Amino acid sequence: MIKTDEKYELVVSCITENQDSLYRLALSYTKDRQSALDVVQNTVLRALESYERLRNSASVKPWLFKIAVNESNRYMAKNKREIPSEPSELPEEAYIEKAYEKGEGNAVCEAVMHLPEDMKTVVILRYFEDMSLKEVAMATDTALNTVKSRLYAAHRRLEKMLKREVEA
Amino acid sequence: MRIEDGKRAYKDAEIPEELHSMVEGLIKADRKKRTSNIEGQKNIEDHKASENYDEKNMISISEKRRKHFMLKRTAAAAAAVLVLFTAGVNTNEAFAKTAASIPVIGELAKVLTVRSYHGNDGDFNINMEVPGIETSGAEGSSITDSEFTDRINAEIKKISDEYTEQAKHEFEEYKKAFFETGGTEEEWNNRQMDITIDYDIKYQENPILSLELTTAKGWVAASEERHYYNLDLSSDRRLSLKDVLGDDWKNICNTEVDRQIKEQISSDDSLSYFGYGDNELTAEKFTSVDENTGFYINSDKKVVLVFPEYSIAPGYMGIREFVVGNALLS
Repeated sequence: MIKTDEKYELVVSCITENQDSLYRLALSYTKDRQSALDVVQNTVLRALESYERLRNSASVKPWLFKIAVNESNRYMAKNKREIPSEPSELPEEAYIEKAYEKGEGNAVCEAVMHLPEDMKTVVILRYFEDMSLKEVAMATDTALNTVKSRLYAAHRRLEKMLKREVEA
Repeated sequence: MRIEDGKRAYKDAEIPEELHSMVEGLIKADRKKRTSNIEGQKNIEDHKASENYDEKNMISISEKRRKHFMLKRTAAAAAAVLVLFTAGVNTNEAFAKTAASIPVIGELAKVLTVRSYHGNDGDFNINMEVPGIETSGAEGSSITDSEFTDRINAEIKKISDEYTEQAKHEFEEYKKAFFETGGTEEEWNNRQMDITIDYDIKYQENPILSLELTTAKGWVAASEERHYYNLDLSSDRRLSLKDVLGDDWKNICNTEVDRQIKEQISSDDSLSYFGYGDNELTAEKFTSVDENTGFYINSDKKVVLVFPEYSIAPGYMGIREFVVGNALLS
């Protein structure tokens, strides 16, 4: 009983600490504010409902993000909105050009948002949310090497989009 | 230019004002619900103490509890129904190569998830991690082909598939009966069945592998089954209790189980076993292990016997495990 309570508190504090990050991640999928809030709401509900399934207290953060990734995917599938991801489908390079004016950082961020979903998620979790490769693997429910290869592919893609070299 | 350069811009995204109050509100509401559930549980405990507690009773109580819980779920969460595939059936070499983080049994074999599925599928909330054993045919191993592990893998797949089918069938029957006997949509309230298939590597030391496969379902009552694969991969065979405990295996197991049951019920009177203590005259007691008794080898190299729900104790006791002695592994 005590152990269960501890788990619950752990999940609650993890939600509270990471709510902004959860929102940003959701926004990277939905691209609109209200839908991102909906996704966060579903994520929180699901986490509170299934906290007992959390197996290891050290993995609470990747576990929470895994729910967020699933909820984001669920939302996207339900709302079937096409987000252009192939470079050829991008509405020219206008976004990124514009972002350049605000500095390189904005351009990189903008380009990341146009990566295919699976690549985008690993880049966000690894480089923007500072999760370890192992945590990213847990959060995305994939093998460690899949994370590595997605990051690698994301690099190549970003270089192409930004038309210049990008370091890891 | 570095990818991290984008971090600042990413973190600059404006956070809507209502986010924090929404999250806080959700947590608050959940805490409230939780407290009332715990109180509900207490009532059940009292009920359990005051009445003859049999299986039938237990089922009706968990049904009530579940209903209570389901009614409080938000419509948004309840209405969300979708199939999510995280991975298809991976049998190709490419997958094996990417799955480097998986445990390796010496150089002989790896256990990996061959099928992973988490999500809602209509009436079902499915969490599935189906394991498979892959032999590497490394030098020095006697494995010339993987016929043995293929057979084990096929069996695991069959158990998983049939369990899922069976569980779905049961639930659909239940649902049908629910409406045929006058249940309303409102009462049904989108209730779902949880189906879980998972595995755990209990022991792995070249060339021995002890693998547990768990199948579970939860609806009006929860139940769980476990299957064990204790394998010697150097000789392609499944280990028996006799292999790991010696010729005296039956005696060793029976003595230990009997001793531990007596110890358990004398130290904790909430525990009960068929044929022991208060149940002495009302139920047939544990007599002996046999070739079909489930077991695994734990990380301390000890043999652990596993008795399914209802086999030697009332259902509320769940699956019972007994550590009976050191495994004789060369």
